[in-house]
Amino acid sequence: MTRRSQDGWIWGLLPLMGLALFLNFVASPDDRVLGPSQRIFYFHMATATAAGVAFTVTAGASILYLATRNLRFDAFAAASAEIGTVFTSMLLVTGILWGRAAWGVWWTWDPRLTATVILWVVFMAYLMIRGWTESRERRARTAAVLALAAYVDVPIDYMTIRWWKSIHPVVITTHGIHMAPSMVWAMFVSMAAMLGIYAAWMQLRLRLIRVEMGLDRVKQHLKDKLEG
Amino acid sequence: MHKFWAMVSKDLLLEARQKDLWLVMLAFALLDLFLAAFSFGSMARSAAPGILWMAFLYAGMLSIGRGFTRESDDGTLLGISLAPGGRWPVFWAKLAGAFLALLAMEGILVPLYLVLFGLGLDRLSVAFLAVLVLGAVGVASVGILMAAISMNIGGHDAVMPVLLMPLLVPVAILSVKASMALWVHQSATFWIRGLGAVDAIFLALPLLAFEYLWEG
Repeated sequence: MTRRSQDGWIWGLLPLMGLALFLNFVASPDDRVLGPSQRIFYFHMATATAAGVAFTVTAGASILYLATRNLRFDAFAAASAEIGTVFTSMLLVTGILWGRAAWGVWWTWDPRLTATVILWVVFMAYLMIRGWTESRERRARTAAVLALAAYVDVPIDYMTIRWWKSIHPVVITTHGIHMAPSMVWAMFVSMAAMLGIYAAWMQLRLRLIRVEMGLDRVKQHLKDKLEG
Repeated sequence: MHKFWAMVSKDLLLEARQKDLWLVMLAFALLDLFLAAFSFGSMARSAAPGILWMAFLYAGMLSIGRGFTRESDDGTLLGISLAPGGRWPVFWAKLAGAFLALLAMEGILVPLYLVLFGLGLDRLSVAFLAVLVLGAVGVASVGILMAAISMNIGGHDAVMPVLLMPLLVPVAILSVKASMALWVHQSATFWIRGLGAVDAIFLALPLLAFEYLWEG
């Protein structure tokens, strides 16, 4: 399959993104209390979902790597962690902007905000550690164990607003979704669009990692030839 | 079991003889105390649990990796791993050594802080002692796992603080919250249970993953 045909589906995301933007900025109403700043929420929730999925893929791929020692799973874990960290950065930025509009402060040490910052720092450390390790197998093994330790924070982060008294709103509960139906549509379509971006990004990043691995093999082959 | 006790007693004997760990810990604790006293003034007493745990965590961060780095620097890790008894006693001994060193630090610092903050030794309830023990287990288990990871990637200087700092935050928050609740005579059951859960997770994770970090 050619690269162009492999990437063809990514263009299919454009109508979905267009629909998400339409629902976000046109079809859904302003919030009665927060006004138009409510619209930040659709990006915020969507990036949170994408980050959660990305880190879950990293944890799953890390377990599969430890079980099989197949470096393809390590590539999956690395690519997904990088993208998840970018989504967490977007999550923090949109949260800070929304917090300023809703709570009147840029930042507060609420349990949810604290857990999210920890998650961001831990996965930043994960990416740094990957860069510090020379041996591919050792890097994959160490990173897989670290990813599992870091992933502990994901369910904690999700549950903080349910376990603790938090000022962060709880939108989805066991009793339903606390929003107007048009807002619910905007939220779910935004989440689908952001997950589509995650999938497209994964495809591109995995291809780049495969190229990097191929280049490493060529370098090693040439080194072996020259040395011996 | 013999290998385990031999390694624990060796590590503790080395710590006791070298003494630098205890001097650094005391220096940290005093600096922490001075800064808190001058920054918070009369409010320092209410901030005491946070100030106390800050001293433990910083001193713990310095001490925890030493058990592994000592073996790594001396090239003795391979020898003790291959010695009769297998590799697991080495892991348990390092964990127990870190835990006991932290307990000893708590034994010195807690009475000192309680007296200097004017809180009185009656704050030393059974529940508070449980928080101290659970906190030390949490710091030791996270620390040993990170020390093993650090050793595995060549003991890069920045690895321990970069990895340990964020992963210790849940243990730190739960320990501080539990101590604060107990010192104002409120129920700390929720925080103690949370601390127990975090300890269980970070004790289980090395048990599942440690074999992978031994592979050299």
